Amino acid sequence: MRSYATFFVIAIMSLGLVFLLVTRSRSPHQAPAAVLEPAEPVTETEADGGVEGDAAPPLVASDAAVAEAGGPLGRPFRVTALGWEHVAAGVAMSDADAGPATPAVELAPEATLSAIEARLARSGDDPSGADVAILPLPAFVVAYERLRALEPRAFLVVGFSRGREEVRAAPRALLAPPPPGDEVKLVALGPGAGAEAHPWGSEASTVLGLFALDLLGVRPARVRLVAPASEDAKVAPFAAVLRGVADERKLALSTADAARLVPLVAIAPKAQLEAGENAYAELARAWLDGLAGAAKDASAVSRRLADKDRVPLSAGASGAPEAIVLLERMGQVEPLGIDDQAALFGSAPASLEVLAARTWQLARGGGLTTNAAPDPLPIDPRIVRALGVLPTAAPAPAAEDADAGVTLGAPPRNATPLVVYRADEASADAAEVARTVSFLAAVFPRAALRVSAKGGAKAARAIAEDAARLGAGQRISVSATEPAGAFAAVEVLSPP
Amino acid sequence: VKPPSSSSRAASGAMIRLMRIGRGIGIALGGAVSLLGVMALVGLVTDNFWARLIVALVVVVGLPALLAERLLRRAPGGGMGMVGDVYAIILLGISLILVSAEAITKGVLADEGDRYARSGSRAMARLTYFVAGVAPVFPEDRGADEPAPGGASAAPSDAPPGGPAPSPSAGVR
Repeated sequence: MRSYATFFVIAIMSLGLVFLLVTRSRSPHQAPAAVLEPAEPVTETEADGGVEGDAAPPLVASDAAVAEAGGPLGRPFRVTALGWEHVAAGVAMSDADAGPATPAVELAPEATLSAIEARLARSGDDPSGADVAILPLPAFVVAYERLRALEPRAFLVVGFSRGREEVRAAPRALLAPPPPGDEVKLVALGPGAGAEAHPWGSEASTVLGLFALDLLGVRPARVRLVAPASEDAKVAPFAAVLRGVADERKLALSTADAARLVPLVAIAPKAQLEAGENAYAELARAWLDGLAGAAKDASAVSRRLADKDRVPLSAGASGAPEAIVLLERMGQVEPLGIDDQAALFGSAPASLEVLAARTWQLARGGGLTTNAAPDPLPIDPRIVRALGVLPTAAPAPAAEDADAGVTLGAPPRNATPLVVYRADEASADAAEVARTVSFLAAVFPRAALRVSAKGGAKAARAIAEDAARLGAGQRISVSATEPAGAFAAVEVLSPP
Repeated sequence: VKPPSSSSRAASGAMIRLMRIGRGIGIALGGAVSLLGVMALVGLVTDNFWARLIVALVVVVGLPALLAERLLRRAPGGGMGMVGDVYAIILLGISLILVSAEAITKGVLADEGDRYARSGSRAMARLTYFVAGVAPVFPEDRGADEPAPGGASAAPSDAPPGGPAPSPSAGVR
């Protein structure tokens, strides 16, 4: 009799438990992504990359111990990016053969700048937040005023945009003197348009358009940004759009030409960079290695991203584009390595500091942001230094060669003029023109430059030689023709 | 003494089998939920899987064994049947408490599911989320139409009648 009673008790308790489990209301829960653990335990030697000597600063032992426990932060780095193509390095990092010292990451590619800002605001401690964001420098400049409280800092340049942004214009419009009138219309993404993903424009394309017009002598304050749907768009002489957008205007210039104008930067809050310098250095090293790995097998990486196959995605990641689209986008990014960081965080003619100042100036003048560039600029070289890369100074001429002649080049035959920089007669300053020439030589790494100036060939040669001493190389030539209505003019010539 | 009829012997044998099955189900069901629950509680102290598993096994196996040993001293003829009953009742009791106290245990169990999800153990994660009473959405399951955390839409904005028109490869960045 007792056994019957216990049987009924057990049966009722079992049924009750099943009933409770099955009928309870279930709230949605965002499950985290799987974190790939290192294949082997991290030893101290492996954690510092196995590098001996002073090639790279070693990790401290405590960092290695923490890395063994699941990443330098004790959890995965959460990395968000403006576009799926920018997390390709993270996919390569997640491969089993990426090495045991590779930090674990969760990837959160986003389609909009506001989503990036939201993730950074949540911070990486939240599964829907982010520690690091990767985005084009113009987008960072636009987002900076909304993220100012976080004190975001650019600590790494992971690549350059290459051909994604285009300036379209009427024939020879970028070669002729600036259009008359109070304002110049440019079809481009305007201020306040960042809340949605735009199929035709971006902050970077707008900055490219403003840059081209600024070279031409049209200051950004004179430029009126118009939407493509407006009536003004039909008569606007210039358009700054993304590649692949159908536009009746002719392609005049793109970031394939100005291949060093739009850097893709990794940003993180200043406090996190200070607190986790070694951890961020390890992430930076692994990310740059991942860029190289992704470049070797772009097809497989784009397919995995499109299929979300073995991709450690963060909570709330958006939908991926198709593999063919991702493959095209990955081709529009020029990946950088550790060695490239030295010039960018140094004092080269187109260093990150120079590019940031220029981008801020253009964005402020064009109305993309309401604030002038902060002083100092939000750039933090500590991570690059921790990687063992010392920022380089601009090449200085030797004292005995300073007054010696500089060998100038000749313009390539059949070269096509892309854009003309015109220095105002009112602000006649040969040294400033020489600095601009060296900057243009750095921004247009394949182009030749032809300088002309008031005073003929002699004056032009003096400017060209000064620019060559500033590191512009031998891609500069001079023209004896004096520019009309300008103190000096510099033609940027695309090689045939 | 009147011998039992054949029909009553058959009923008794079937009942014994039914009782054994019920006992087995109770131990398996209660044991699984109790093990997950105790592991989740230990997870408040440490994330180490082996520490969680060993402590939970000690509790889930040791506590009913202790009680069964006490009962066997009082009723020596109980045998393995009584031990099984004790296990089933204790483990089901622990499970019912864990599941009934949803307000307290839901978060703890969901965290335990997160640990399995991070380690890549999808089946264990789903089982733990089921016990926790949550509906998990795994990163790979999230569709393209799900809004981003910022609440931003990925839809194109201006339709340009006279201006630039997007190509299939342009669009969402």
